Amino acid sequence: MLDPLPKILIELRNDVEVDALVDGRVRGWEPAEGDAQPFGKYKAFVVLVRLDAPRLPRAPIQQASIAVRCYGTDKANAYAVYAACSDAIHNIGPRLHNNGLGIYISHDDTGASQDADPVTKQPLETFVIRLSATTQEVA
Amino acid sequence: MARRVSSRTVLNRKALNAIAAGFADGMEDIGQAFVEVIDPPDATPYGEGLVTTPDWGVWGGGKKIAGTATKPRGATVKQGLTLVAGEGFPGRFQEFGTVNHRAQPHFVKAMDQVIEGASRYLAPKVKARLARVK
Repeated sequence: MLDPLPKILIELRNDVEVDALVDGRVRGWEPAEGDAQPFGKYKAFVVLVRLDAPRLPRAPIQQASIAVRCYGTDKANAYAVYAACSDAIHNIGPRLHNNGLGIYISHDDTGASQDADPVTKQPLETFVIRLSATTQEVA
Repeated sequence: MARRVSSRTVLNRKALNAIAAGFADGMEDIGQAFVEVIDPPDATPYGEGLVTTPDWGVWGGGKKIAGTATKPRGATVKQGLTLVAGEGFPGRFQEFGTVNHRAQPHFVKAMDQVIEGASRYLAPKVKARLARVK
């Protein structure tokens, strides 16, 4: 079974538009130290969390849901980070990663939901990536 | 001379109502199944928190026809049948996480589990309603 989250993280981190906004701050599972800042010192960053990845009963395919939280310096910047992340993965067709994981298709399944962190009040946009990928290595 | 309404047309209208009613019955079962399957992290006996009980509701043509949930502000239910199932306000922070609180995904998992088998809830209810149409 192959985890699609690290490869989606790499795809977002390597995207030129995303990197221009977050300067490499694309994290898996939780923010890195120093990402979350108090009001007035906000930094743009992205956090990915895998929500689930059920397998098809027979075919070696998984359909994963990955939540993406796009934090911005302000509301407009949060939306810009979301837009760049969404453009980077939405309706992107088959690709093969170096560990053998094949991703058939990925979509921005929900669109942006506007929110703010309950503690730091930093603006963020949340969306869910839905993708179909292999569960075993393919050549 | 006025056209006579054919009996076939009357029967089709009744069947359409039966199909809609059957779908409503099936959606009730889906909402109930979702509540039974979902496992909020704060649910007893593990702890006391804000997100402990999910809820569901079915709206038909803008009117609530089943369930106990309050309609979320953003939900559009004016046309057709709509099932809304979910958790209260802090639920999305539990599901997606925050800067200080790790994500505890449980909602999407339950949704996938129930939605994937939605036909097994809908089909028998629609069949039962259609069987009563004469």
